[in-house]
Amino acid sequence: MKIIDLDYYAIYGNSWLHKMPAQYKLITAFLVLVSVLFIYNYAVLGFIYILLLAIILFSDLPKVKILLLSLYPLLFITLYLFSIDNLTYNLTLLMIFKVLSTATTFVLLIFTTTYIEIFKKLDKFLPSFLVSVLFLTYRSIFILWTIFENLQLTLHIRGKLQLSRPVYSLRLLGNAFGHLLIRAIKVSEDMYECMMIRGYSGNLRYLRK
Amino acid sequence: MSHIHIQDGVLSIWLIIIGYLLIGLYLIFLFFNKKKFIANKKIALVGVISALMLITMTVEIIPPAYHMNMAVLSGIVLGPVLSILAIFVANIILAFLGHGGISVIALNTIVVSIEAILGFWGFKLLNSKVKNIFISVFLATFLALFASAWISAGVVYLGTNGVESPFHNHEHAIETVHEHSSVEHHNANSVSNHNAIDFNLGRFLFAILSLGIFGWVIEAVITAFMLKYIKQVKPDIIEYDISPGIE
Repeated sequence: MKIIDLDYYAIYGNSWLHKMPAQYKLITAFLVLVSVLFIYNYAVLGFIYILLLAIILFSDLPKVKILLLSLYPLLFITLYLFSIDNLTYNLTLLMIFKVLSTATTFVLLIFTTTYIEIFKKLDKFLPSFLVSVLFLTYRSIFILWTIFENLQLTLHIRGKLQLSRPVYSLRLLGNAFGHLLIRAIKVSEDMYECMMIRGYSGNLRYLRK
Repeated sequence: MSHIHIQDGVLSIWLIIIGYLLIGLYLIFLFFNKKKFIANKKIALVGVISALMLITMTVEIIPPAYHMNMAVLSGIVLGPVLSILAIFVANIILAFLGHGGISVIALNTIVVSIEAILGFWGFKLLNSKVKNIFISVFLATFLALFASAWISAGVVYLGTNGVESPFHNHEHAIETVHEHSSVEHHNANSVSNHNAIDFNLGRFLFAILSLGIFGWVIEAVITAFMLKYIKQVKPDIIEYDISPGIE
């Protein structure tokens, strides 16, 4: 799922979770994370997961999209469980609920809270230069995504990727990403000039509500 | 699998703490060398490269298990010091998507950063020996991806070496409530548990190496074509006399 789509849901969503202040959602997410790290009872973790599913069910959110995104970590956990000798039923459930509980919590958080709000809250705990890079990355995603979409269109029109011609397709992809990198560097130079004009001296300044 | 998005609740707490301590030390280093690394135009480049990594991650080579991450490329463009920052930021954003755990952001960053650093030095070394940029980038990328898969497996092994212990403790808690008298039975059980549940590093390595090899080759070829294109169009990006980020 694209970050841009998530951002759309976070900004324009109108569920009761969207209206909740970001700090409460972050504290709740943190509590779920701590529970996952320290609780080794699959029943408790299963209960937390069911609770999260109930929240998704009773909120006006894109349920299928949230569920699909939150199931992604199952790929890793399948690989991990495959590597355990004499795997027990209890351990399997424990690991699955641990992974699903945190993934669902944070996917739910990101569907209802914009990255900007999260970064602003993190500003109190993280070094300012790190928060600056987070903001710059967030901004760059949208600029680069537009360039990337145009590139995809160009590739489609001028020389579609073909499985029957793997080397040609890989070269095409390589050239496209190379072009994207060159454009990205140009974007970064422009962005830095804008920052300097606006008085950047090592810290980004923004208005707090 | 160039890198594995290790999830929350899988690794031991001590390893998670070590990961954050190492990243904390790195951030302190950056803070005290702010003028050299941050308060210049490279800060914008770090943000843009992070964004580029996030965008290329949406291109799945082998859906849904393998995607590119461009860590080697970030190492070559940003240099070893700043590529860690770009990777850390990309991992923070990814973790909020359930793509790798929040508690293991630091460890995931360390694994991918090692890939970037190996790619950077590998490229520098090979580029001076091999005249063909395609071959030098291909080899540097492939070897960095291969090494990072082993490091990932090592991290998972270190963090789950005692996979039975927390689980055993939980069983102990249940037994204390329900079976006060069966101490001997518990002891017999605990021994069997210690023998039974164990992380099989060999099987894990087999899984990630067999899944990853095809993806590594593709990622290495794409990165090689990418840098070949950059050398033709805008060579100053990679033809630096002094390594970027470590001058």
